[in-house]
Amino acid sequence: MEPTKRTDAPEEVAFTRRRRLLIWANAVLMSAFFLGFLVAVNVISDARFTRFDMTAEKLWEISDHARKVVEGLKHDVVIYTTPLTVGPAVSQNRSLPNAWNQVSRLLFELSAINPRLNVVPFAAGTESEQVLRMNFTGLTDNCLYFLVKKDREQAARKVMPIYELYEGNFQTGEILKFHAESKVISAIVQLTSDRPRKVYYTEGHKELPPPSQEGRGMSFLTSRLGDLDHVEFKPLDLGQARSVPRDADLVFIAGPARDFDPPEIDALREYWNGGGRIFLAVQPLTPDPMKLLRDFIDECGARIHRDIVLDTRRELQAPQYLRITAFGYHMINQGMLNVGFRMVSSGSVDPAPKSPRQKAISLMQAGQWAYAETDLRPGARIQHDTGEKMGDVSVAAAAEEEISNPTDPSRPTARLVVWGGVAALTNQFNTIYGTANLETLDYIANTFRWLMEVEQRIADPIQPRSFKMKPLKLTPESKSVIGWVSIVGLPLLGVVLGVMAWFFRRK
Amino acid sequence: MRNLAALVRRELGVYFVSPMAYIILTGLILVFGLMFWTEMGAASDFAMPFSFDRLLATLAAILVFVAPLITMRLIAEEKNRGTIETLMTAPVTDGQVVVAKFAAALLFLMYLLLPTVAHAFLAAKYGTVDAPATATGYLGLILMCSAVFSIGLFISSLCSSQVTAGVVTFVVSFLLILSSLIADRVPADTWYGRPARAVLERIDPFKYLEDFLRGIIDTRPVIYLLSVTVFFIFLTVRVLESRRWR
Repeated sequence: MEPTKRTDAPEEVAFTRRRRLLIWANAVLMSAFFLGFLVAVNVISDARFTRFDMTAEKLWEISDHARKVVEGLKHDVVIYTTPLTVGPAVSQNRSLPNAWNQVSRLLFELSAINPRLNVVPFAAGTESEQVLRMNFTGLTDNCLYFLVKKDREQAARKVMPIYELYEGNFQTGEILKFHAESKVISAIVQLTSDRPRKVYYTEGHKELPPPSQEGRGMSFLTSRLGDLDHVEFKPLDLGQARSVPRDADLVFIAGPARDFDPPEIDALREYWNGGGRIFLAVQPLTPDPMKLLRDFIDECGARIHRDIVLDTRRELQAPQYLRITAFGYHMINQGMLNVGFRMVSSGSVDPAPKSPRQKAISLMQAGQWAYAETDLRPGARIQHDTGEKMGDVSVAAAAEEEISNPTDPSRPTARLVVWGGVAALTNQFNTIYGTANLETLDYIANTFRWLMEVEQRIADPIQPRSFKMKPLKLTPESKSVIGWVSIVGLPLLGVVLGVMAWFFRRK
Repeated sequence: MRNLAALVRRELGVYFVSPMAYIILTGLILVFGLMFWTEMGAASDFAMPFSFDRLLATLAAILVFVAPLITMRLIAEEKNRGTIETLMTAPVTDGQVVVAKFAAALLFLMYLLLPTVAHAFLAAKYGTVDAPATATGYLGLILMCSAVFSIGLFISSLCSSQVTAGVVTFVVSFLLILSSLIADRVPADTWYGRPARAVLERIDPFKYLEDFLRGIIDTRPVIYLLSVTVFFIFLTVRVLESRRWR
């Protein structure tokens, strides 16, 4: 009988160990290869990915124009979103939360296109607050703050309130038209372009100095316009230059006290005829009647009267302070419903179109108690005389004229805004305890924005959206039904199923 | 295929016989129902369209905690009871066993999610619901859970105690969720900072869910989550196979 072969012979043990080692090595190698393969697949998928918008309304679809703009960003763009304030703003405008939500979605999708575009939610006490406070005049809720750092020194910035991005029903909360994509893209294009908007303010006629930080200066306004629209203010001596620079987006004439010379008027006229944009704020009853300037403005579609509008109710207490509550139906006056604006020391200005190519409208009217005083004498009693305009006196007007040969073909209209008084633009009347009054400044800024018109031009290819998803409106009864079904009914189903399973199992 | 179906049926039977399934189901519907009721009220108060995405995000967070409960017993219990040997000698492959257990877990998840669809119908009755976006959210949820389940399955195959498997799966899932937060803490200016951050940000399955919840199918998270699932199923099969070599 042959002896049984021992399985723990050294050579067999060694063979088994070697075999086991080989199998382990094979398993480890296979796993490593498989992992490598999966990593490679993921790397490729990262480089060549596709996104499908499955939402019923294609909420995430970004237009080709917007996509190209974001893909081609050369500078880092940071958009800080301030939180939605649940308070008076929301109770007055119920569409704000819905719009805020849609804007957040849009920003999220835009930021997914290019990592150069970052969306940072603002949080108090964090770095985001420091950055915003360093770069902007003031912080308000429900806004987007754009910041583009082109180099260490220079940062282009812009503030965009959420309510500017849509048209909504304040009562139902429904969004009627959503312009956020075009507005945000316009802002990005504007900020990343190397050219800021240029406003030239005229000098040499005893005008008020816009950059001055004194009470009669307009540094708060210029700074706010810098925040909002990346605007630069530059002086312009028309007497020397004899023409308006070609890069001017707007010519600002701030309260001149001396008339313009004929060559200067010619330069302004040439600028107007090429599609120019002029903002003139006059001082009422200046010693110099400023006939040439008034005649030129008359040609453009607005008439400046030589008077001062006074409020008869305030006879003893600064009657030149006018509380404006009647605003003409104009883009500049958006959001001025039930809002007041204080106009100070203003003459009357009427819209006066001269041809069918011109359109003009009154922007602000003093109330029924106001009249236009034409013969104001020191110490004399304020009194409405026969022949003086009384009630709803226009103190600001806007005019537009179609231009046949514009210098810039994309700006086929010339635009003019005339205010009867310049004081309301100054620091003195746009601060609250030394800090900027953003409400009045933003209204004034609207005038500059309408005149410069840049946003609309950039945004043209992107169409506004409307949404089919309606805001939810529940009655107390329906809330109760939902509560019963979701908190009691459906969980009870789970309990019943469990009891049934237990019962049948026992059986 | 018939073997696979039989194995899936067997595994599903185990789920529905135990009271755990019904406890999880009832708890999940109750929490989801509470959130649903609150969200509906908030949407109505703020005059906003009702959206399922935030609800599904919270549901995903809950499911990460539920996942270990579902996966912990998958293989660890078989080892503990000694039935794994019987299963290994049955005329089925290791791959079939693993895939069947994974499929059963995933089907059980779908069963858990089914009552939440009733909430969508309830929302549609009183307002408007973006049905395709909601369906995409559910798809994301299933893909994310399948990745977490595959990890749980793998851990269960390594452990012989259900509790150990459950705890380890929970810790791993929790770390995955925290990986984006951990990434923020990694100093970016060190030699390892940038790659470590990139990897940590990459592995967070929760981050990928955001797109789905918003109604977007992006090919990147789909491929990532499927890769994780396939890789861990592959590893689980290798672990079961290794029992034969040892």
